[in-house]
Amino acid sequence: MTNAVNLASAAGTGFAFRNRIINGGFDVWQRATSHSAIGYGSADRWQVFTSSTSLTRSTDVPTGFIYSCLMTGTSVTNAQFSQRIEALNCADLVGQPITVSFWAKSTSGSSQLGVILHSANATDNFSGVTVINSQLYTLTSTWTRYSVTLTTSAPAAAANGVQVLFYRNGTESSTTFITGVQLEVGSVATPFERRLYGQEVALCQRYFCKSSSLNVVPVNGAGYTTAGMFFSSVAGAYLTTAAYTPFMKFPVTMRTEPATITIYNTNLPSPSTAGQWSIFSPSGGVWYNCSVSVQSVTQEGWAAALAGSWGSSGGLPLYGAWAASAEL
Amino acid sequence: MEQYQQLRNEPMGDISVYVRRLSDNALINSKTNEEYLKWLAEGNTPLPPEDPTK
Repeated sequence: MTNAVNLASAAGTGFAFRNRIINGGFDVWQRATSHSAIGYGSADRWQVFTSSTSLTRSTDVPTGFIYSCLMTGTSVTNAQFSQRIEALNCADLVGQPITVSFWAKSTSGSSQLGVILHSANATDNFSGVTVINSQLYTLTSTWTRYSVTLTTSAPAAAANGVQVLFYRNGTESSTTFITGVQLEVGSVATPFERRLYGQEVALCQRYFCKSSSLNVVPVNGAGYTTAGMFFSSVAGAYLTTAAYTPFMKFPVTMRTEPATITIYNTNLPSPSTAGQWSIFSPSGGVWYNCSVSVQSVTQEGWAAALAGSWGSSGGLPLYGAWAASAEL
Repeated sequence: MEQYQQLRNEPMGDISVYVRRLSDNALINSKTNEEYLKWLAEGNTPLPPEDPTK
């Protein structure tokens, strides 16, 4: 392994796809550039763990990075955020050493930064987890790369999926900057693996994708001409009250059929109804709201069924946006 | 308290795997969405689908 590590270091980029963390460099923020609610909401693949935590995209970075993640904590509970790695990418971890490395600094708060490695108690089910190991670090206000081999032999449960969780070991207000997160097999932290941006985006889209442009966050009620926000299509109205859309392809095969599909409307008609789409009736010459449901869905895409009352059948113009999540 | 409503696929009339979350009209996979499964486990039940004859 030593020779392999040396080779990786010498090559500069190392072996491809050795980093099991997706978006470890925080380059992809499809949902927003900041959020504080528990769950997913900003940096792709990373979720907030406690209500007192917010994640924000930052350009305060060590050399070689574009963005970092600023984790802000309040005095309510420990600031925490994590990434879950699906079982299909963990089977070979069992019995192997696992090393986690990252760049970090702190500009406020006196508590240490902890990193915990969990295994899921069932395949891709993180409602129950088991601690494999953890490590505490005393950060400074200078960017520093930290690494730790959290296990020399990962347990069998690691095949269920693993979670890397960062937390401040205190409940004071704190600001923590993190980037370059890497989890790899082996007992040595190799240089951060920088994948091509398009590859990183595609890896993220396995878990979350949307009809809007990558860096455009859809919102209800925005103008239908808002750049990059809404798609237009033609819905097939087989009744004056019911229609199907064409099958809308996801950009990549998703991890599973989406657990959530969020619907966004335009400003048509006025007033529009949040979470519905806009459909046009040639006979009336006006836009209508239509409710949206899932007519069919696969890991590859979906078709919507539309319901409302637009007074004519045939091919009708349609505007809207959607976002699909198959996160862990 | 969050509310969900079942959806009916027309014109076949079968009940969709997806339910509607009424707070934002998001479409929720009733088999895999963790929040929904937790809501069900708490003893809640979704509203029935709208009657297409009305």
